[in-house]
Amino acid sequence: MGLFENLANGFVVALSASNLFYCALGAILGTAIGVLPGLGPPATIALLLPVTFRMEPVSAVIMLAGIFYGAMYGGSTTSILLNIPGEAASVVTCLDGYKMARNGRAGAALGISAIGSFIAGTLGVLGVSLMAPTLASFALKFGPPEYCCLVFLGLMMAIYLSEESVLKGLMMGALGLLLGTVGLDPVDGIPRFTFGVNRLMDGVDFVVMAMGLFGIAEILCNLEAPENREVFKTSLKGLLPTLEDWRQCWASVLRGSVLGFFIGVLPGGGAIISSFASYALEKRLSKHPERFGKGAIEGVAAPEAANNAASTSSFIPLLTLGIPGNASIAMIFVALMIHGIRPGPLLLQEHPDLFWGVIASMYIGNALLLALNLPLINFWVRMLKVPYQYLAVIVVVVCVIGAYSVNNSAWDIGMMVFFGILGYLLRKFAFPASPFILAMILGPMLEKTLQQSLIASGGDFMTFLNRPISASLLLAAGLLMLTPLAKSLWKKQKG
Amino acid sequence: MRKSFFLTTMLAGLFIGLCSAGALAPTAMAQEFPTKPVTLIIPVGAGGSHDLTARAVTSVASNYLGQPIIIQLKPGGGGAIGSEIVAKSAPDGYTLLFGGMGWSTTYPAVEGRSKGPDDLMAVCRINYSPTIIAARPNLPFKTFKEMLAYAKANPDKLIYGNTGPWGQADLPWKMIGKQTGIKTKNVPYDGGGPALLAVLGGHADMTGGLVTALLPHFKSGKLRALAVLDYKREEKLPDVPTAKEEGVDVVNLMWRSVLAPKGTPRPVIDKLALAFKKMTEDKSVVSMIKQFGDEIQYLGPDEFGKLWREEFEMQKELGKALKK
Repeated sequence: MGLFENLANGFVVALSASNLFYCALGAILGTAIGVLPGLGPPATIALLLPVTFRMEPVSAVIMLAGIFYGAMYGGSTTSILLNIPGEAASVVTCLDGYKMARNGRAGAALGISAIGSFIAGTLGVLGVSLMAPTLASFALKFGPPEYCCLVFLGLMMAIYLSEESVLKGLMMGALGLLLGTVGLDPVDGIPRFTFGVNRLMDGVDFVVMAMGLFGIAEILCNLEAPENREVFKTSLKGLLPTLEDWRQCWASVLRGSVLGFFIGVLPGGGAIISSFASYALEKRLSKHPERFGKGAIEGVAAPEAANNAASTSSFIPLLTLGIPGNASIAMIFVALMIHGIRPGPLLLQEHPDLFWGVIASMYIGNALLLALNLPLINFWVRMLKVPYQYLAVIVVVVCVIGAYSVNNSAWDIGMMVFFGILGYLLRKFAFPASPFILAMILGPMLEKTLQQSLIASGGDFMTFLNRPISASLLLAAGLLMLTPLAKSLWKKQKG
Repeated sequence: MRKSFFLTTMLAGLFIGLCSAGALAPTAMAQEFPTKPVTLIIPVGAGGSHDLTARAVTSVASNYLGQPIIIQLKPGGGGAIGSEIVAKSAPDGYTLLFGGMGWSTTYPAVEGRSKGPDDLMAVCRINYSPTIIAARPNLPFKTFKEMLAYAKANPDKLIYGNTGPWGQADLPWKMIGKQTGIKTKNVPYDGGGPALLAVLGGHADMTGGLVTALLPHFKSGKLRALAVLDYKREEKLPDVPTAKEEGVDVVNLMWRSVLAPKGTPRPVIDKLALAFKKMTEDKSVVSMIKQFGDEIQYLGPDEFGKLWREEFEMQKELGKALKK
């Protein structure tokens, strides 16, 4: 059977009335939880698992997958409107998305992220249907040394994100790495920097930290300058990106999609790394890098496209190898197991209608999400017209509930307040928060993969240089570090 | 001084509580137990095998206990937080813990954190999954015994991917190492999925996992099962011997159980244990558990309590030996 025949059969499965309904339900639920900070896609899917016990397996996966990629669409909304990243992959969207909203271009930012996500999602699904098995073997090539070098490259890029001072970016990155060491050490499970507090054993929770550093800090800063409200006077006319916007960012969307698609195949952290890698790439390629961080539309389009493409391609390890790449996919894995289907190398032969049905449903789900999100933009932008004294209270309440819902504990609310105050102080002294938070996420990954590589190699650091993929990643990191230096030397010589 | 003050307050609180409950004697309370819904705390995240098993079993609780069982997730510290909440709550049978080997045996035995059999009491075991040792198929050995011989001849050559410190793969591998004297590189991975991926990609040679996750890879020939760490062979892998059969006395059963705070009256424990026994025999529960790839292996409070205590003492010794 050819690819198109398979895909056509998949569409027959996905377009049945009940599956269409579950696809829409999943997409809507996903958008809703993406918009609300706190309860993320893995928790939502886990809560809905018992409901799927009695559903058809294909319908169950179609709905749960819809929640997962729907949340990727919704997650950018709070980043753009309120500067609160709903999940790790939307931290970068805050940088330029929120600035665009403050410049009165919230509609354009939301529009480009919805349309960019749609393009990336569709390209991603196309990629999955064309080369899933090939990419699975690519993911298998990534051992600990390769991951370690990828994370290292990612860290270099994270520091590059800081708007003005690279030195301040480095300082915040180092602080983030230190914070990332809180918790159990990855080799022996010995508690570090927990001061006997059980709550710190698992380290600092990202969602809680992000809501504090970005959301609460933003509100504190706004309270300080109450006259500054005119920034939110968005005219309802400019809801969609203009032709000029498109001219600026169509290439960014495509680059973001491709980059996100390939990095997303790698289990663990793919979506996060791809979002800021694509941001760094755009900033590097742009003729006007100084616009980034001040409301550049490419800075929204590229990472949004990347994280959506990554969320699509993260299904590949599950469907072809039977290995879940992130927490949400792990839940979908569980849903399949409950129905007696074991995802793995044999899935494509044993359950072709499931495999192709799910892929076809992702095409349909992406179209549905676009249709759902474009009309919603009007509503979101209107929300910004709510007088700030009310909006701020609502945002704080939503954040508190969100923080509590992470572990059902009041401890996390306290942590959020702590990071809120820290975020406020950082802003007062013009320290960038994004390298801090990204280093906090990447630090533990770097440590774990470094330990794994060195235990396996018997302590030999050459393991990083002997392998082609890890060596080229290191080379890329080195170039990234050296180019600014070379540039300034070049300038000096000229001058 | 401070401790006695604390105790006095607790006693006073208990007294007031008893008065407001109509000053019932403990035995009378046990006879009427339960008069309100029972809370079962799961100390790990949603969607894992513990969460699913607990939800499946308690879905029919009101038919057999007369009251529903409400599940509360209190994840954190690898299960330590939920365990401590239950250990500190009133021993009246209304607050229970869903126990697992990691947070109820290994952490308290080896690291002195979380709560073990010194602070909690057994109600019953629901079921368990044994660890299965698996290897890449293209290694120069085919059986568990051959693997041991190979590892002896080539110390520190085999790379074993574990699923996290003291987890389902790490602990039994340390026990095997201690018993047989083999030396390998024990690399920590972030859970079963990543460890499995590392073996499939050739970055590690072996791992230890549960049958539900490994079975499709055994079937497709990408992995070879070497040994089952149980007292008996695994039903789905009839040709794979246990480690005991191969001369290595290591058993590692990742169990799921119901535990209560220490000091819960015996009649209450018995009532709960009986209700759980009936729940696990319910047809709909049995079929749901089967769909997860598991089965019911119910054990009552005394049998399971004894097993748990033995496991705890054994791991305590192991922890001391390994930390030297």
